[in-house]
Order: sequence, then structure tokens, then C-alpha cells
Amino acid sequence: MKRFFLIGVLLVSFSSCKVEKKEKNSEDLIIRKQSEMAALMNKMYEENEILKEKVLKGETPINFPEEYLKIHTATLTDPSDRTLEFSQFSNLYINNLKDVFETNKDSLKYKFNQTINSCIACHKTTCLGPIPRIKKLLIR
Amino acid sequence: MRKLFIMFVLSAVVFACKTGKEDQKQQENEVVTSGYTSFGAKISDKDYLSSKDVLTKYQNLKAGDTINLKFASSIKEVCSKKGCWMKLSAGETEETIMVRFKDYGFFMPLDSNGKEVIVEGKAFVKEVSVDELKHYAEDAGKSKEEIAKITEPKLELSFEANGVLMKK
Repeated sequence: MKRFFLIGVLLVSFSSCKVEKKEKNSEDLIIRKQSEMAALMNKMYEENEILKEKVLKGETPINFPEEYLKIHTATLTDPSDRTLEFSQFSNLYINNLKDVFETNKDSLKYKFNQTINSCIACHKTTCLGPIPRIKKLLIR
Repeated sequence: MRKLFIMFVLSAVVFACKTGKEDQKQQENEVVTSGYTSFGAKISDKDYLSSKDVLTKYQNLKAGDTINLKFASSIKEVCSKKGCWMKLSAGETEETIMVRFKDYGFFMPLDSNGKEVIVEGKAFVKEVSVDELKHYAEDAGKSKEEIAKITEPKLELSFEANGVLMKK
């Protein structure tokens, strides 16, 4: 009998602790988790900032980042945005960027801007928000 | 010895629960003291204009003008895809202020409709093209029929926020 009483007390104590945790969760806000594509885009943005500095110094970059090819498979925030147009723009971006890694010093700035302009053109069709930020990458 | 062990287990459980309650209390206190959830750059909850005063400021703006402002308002609509923009009430009118976030650097919670906010950043007016208006209507989850009704560009009260405080 005594043992049952103790087990009862222990169960009540544990369950009351559990209820409190649930209440805390109910205050959470719904924040959209970053999609695979958004994470890739942010990474590409940061690395393109570094690339811009190199181009401005007239340094030809080496080793095209193969990781960027994930643009063809990464999950988008809205998967329905992966249209034929999006695939065409992705190809254009990748090809333009490859050109930056293969071109001569004289065309570096032109090729780099061409890459960034392909990002802007694509964003005009799918996601307008980041355009002002992307424009900052252009070499004036 | 057995009794001692049982007493020890019971005290440990009671102590653990008590600590949990204190944590929660502390959290509640934080809510009361700050009262806001912060997004983007940290801003203070002092010296801000009302959304009515802001509307007057906007009425004096010409395309191309930009002024730094801090004002309080409530969220009328938020981007349903990512929370990457929000529309705020402008005074008592039907007019709204379109808020985007500096450098696309932070987003609002998807369930923040109706919440009170304080925003700090740059105010300006701009003409928004039909394509852009349709895009934002799509983001807001509007129906195809509603989107099809957008046929003319609109002069928009725009705001680029570097920081937002949202009332809890």
C-alpha cells in the first residue's frame, strides 16, 4: 500500500512538470525555416561578395564551386517555383559564372556583372524581395 | 536506508519541478519588462510616431524623397510564404504601408497578423508595377480572380525597416 502511494506521488510530480513544458511551447511563433535553396542562395551571395573583390583587383578566380550545381536540385521555399523558366535561368547563371572562372582579365568585370544580372533577371520572375540586395553586387 | 533513498528521489523531483517553475517565471518577467520580440537590428521602444502622424509625413513625400522614421502600427498582412514583407495600417484609413526588411536580412513570423509593432528605418513612396503588385498578391495568398483584377500600377507608401519590435 505504502509503495503504491509513493509511486502515485512520483507520477503526479512528473506529469505536472510535463504540463508546464507544453504551455511554454504554445507561446512559440511560426517562423519559416530556411529552405535548402535559400541557404544555397545566401552562401552564393556571400561568396560572390568575395569574388567581386577579386574581380575588382583583377584576379582571375580558380576552381569553380561545384556545390553551386545544387541549384538544379535544392528544395525551394515554394517548390512550385521550380518551373521551366527557373531551370533556364539556373543554367544561364551557372554558365555565366563558369565564364568568370575561364575568361581573361580584360573581360572579368563584364562577365561578373553578366552573372549577377542573370540572378536579377531570374528573381524578377520568382522572388522580388532580394533584388535590391543582389544589385549591390554589381560592379558600377 | 530504503526510506532515505525514497526521500532523496522525492526531494529531487520536487526540486526539479520548482526550478522549472522559476525558469518560466523568469521568462514571463522578461515578457513584462521588454514586452516585445525583436527582429533585425536592436531598436528601442521609445520616441516613436503614431501611424496617423506617419501618414502625414508620407503625404508630404515626393517620389525620390527618403526620410528616417520610427513609428508604431499594427500588422494588416504578412507574406504567407516566408514573412519577407508586411503591410502596416496607416492611421485610421484603409491605406497601408508596405514594409520590407533591410538587405532581405530578417523575416517576420507567418502568424503575426494583427500584432502591434514598432519599426525603424527609411520611408519613401514609389510606383509599383502591375507585375510586382501581382507578385505580392500571390505571396499574400490571394485568389487568381483577385490577382487578375490588378491592372494598374499603384503609388505605394514604402518602408525599409532595419529593426522591428513586435508586442508579445
